[in-house]
Amino acid sequence: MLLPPKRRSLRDVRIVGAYFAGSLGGALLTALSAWLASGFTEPLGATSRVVLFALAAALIVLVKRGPLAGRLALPENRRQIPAEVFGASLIRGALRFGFEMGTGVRTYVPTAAPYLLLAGLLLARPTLGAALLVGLGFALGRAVPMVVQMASIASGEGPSEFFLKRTREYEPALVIVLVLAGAGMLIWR
Amino acid sequence: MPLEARLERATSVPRGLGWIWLLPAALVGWGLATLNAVPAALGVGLAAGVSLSGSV
Repeated sequence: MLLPPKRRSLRDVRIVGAYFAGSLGGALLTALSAWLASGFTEPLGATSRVVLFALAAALIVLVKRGPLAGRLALPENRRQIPAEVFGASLIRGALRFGFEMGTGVRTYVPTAAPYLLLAGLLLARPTLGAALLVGLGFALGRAVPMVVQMASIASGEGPSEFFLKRTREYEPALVIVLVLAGAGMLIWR
Repeated sequence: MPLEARLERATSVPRGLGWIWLLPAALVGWGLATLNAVPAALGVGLAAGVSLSGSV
């Protein structure tokens, strides 16, 4: 039985809110862990950090998108988050699903950007505030496209061609450039 | 289609949301132009998050 439109809309808002809250919690946990681990790079000078970041970035891109793809593998959890997380309640399920997605370590990592970001965080020794901002940005980035798509489905439009067509042509290069430039600046400054 | 290729396709940003890349690009650009860590940190996080936005 469908709920009346007003109650359905309220429930959708709560699900989206729970998903974003979970996503934020997971991303902040990972950012905080990376921030703590970045203390181990304290003795390195700025030049050493930049050189190490350049080497790590080259390796990551070669393994993810270059000739080393299929020969070497970066660590990732090669499974999908199980549907059972939604077993008890949609809202609690969305919270847990968002949390697991937000950590960035509970499912496949098909792009190079999260690895570049992690290498950047470890080598940048950012302030706690900057590390948490990275986590906030990561959570927003993970949640917003899904929230927009859920909103379009909830409004009855369904996932149109508008949403199903992909931007794959320029996206991988763009995100690599963005993360390299931003993380490089955080390391160098 | 191999799993990696299917995952890559499934997790890319929908074309209708292509504009979302403007946000991290603007933030990282702002951070670089002013050497300000706040927009740069938010921008790199956003870029990496968007790149995984469809992962399941």
